Amino acid sequence: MSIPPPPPPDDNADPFRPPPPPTPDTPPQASESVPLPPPSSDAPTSPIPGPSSAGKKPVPDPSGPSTGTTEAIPSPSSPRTGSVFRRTPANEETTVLTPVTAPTNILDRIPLSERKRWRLFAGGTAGLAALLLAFTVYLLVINNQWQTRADALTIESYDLGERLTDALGQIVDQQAQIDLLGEQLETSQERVLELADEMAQAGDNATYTQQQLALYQELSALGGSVSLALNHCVNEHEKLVGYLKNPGAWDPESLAAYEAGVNQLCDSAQSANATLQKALTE
Amino acid sequence: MKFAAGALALLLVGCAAPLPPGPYPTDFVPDESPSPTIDSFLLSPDGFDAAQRMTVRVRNVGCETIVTGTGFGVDEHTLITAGHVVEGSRSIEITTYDGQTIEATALGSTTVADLAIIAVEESLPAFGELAEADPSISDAVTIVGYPGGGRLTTTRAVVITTDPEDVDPEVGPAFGATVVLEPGMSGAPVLNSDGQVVGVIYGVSENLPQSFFIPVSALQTLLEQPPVLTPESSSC
Repeated sequence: MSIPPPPPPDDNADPFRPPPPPTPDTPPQASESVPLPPPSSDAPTSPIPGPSSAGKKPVPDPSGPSTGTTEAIPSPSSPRTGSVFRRTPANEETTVLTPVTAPTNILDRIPLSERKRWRLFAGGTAGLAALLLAFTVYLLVINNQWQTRADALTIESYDLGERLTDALGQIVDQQAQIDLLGEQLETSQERVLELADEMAQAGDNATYTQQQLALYQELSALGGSVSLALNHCVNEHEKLVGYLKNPGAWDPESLAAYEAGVNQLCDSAQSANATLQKALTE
Repeated sequence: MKFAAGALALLLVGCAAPLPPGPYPTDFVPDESPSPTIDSFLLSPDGFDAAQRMTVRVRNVGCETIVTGTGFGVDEHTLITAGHVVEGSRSIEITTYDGQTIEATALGSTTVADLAIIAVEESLPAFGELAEADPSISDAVTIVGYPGGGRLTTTRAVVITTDPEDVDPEVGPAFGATVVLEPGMSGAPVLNSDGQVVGVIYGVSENLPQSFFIPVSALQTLLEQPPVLTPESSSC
């Protein structure tokens, strides 16, 4: 029987996956050694022991034609990696599993590229933390300054509030005084207008009185003239009566002229008296 | 990539970070204090408004007659009143709103409407400003005068149109006011809302509850004419 070549190494094999524990059916036998296929360059350094298949029916390989001698069975525990258990008819009974030597350092099991990424990540995180710390300190300082400002402004606000309250109180008092003064001013204006009206009415009355006084004075003067004319008329009438008692002693023409003059005088006096009476009735 | 995003976020946070407070203000009271904004037109030394101060009472002392009317100043030494108020006068006596008496020195006759000019030697306490144009219909006006020769009174009215047949043709164009005025208001100033003179009261309607006033345009025509003032007569 020919031994089929080992399957190509699986690139997706998990290199960190620990070896599976030995199954109770096939305990490893260190006394017997079986040559194993050469390890792949990408494969782990030690072959992965698979479960013993002694006494079991071979399972056909679904990935390729079955040779009837060697079959690769996918590991049920790692379907992704495709790790296989190799079973050959020649050493089916004498499979020897070599124990895997675990890495001494966890970093040694990390690839170099991953280490660099981890270092970059750690460095960046540390930088960000430092920046955040500095920013936090800055915020604390700013907060302290604003807190101080807020306290000062609060004190100032209370002071301004007291001053504003005092000013408002003064405004209310002054407004009340203004209202009172406004009422007093309105009263004074009313009084001024009343007094001005009274003065005007008094002026009108005084003017009217003056006019009446002038009228009375004119009437009085007219009455005096009428009285004088009437007295003169009476006197002349008395003289005329005396002359007429002895008419032969006087020139008839002169006596007639005198009589005409007396009559004219009395007519004038009577006319003036009629005018006076008319003015008095008006 | 994550570091770059974190650094960018930190940079943005740093840009939006709060800044320290500025210098503390020394005074919170503004420099410009409020000043009173009272219109000088309303200022008065005794509380009376300009319309009251510019309006005077006119006493026409004739031969055995006394006629009272209203007038108003257009400058310190010139009064305007209705023509029929001073008709047949032997002397004119002027009294102000506060009872002061001002002697008229001359009386001007005019052929413009029913208007008269009175010159006074003493300074009037106030005088009015003439409007540049006649009032419009439905304008609100204020009329200040001495109704019945009594106390100074302020009346409000609205300008309306007049019936031409109701107006004396010798007076010329006239406006109406929705108020019935008593005798003694002739010569009273008609003021618009700005306190400007827009007319002179000269009569009332016999048929309708309205009064007539001569527009300010006729008054301006009168004032533009050369003054013809005649001394008052001392004999009847």
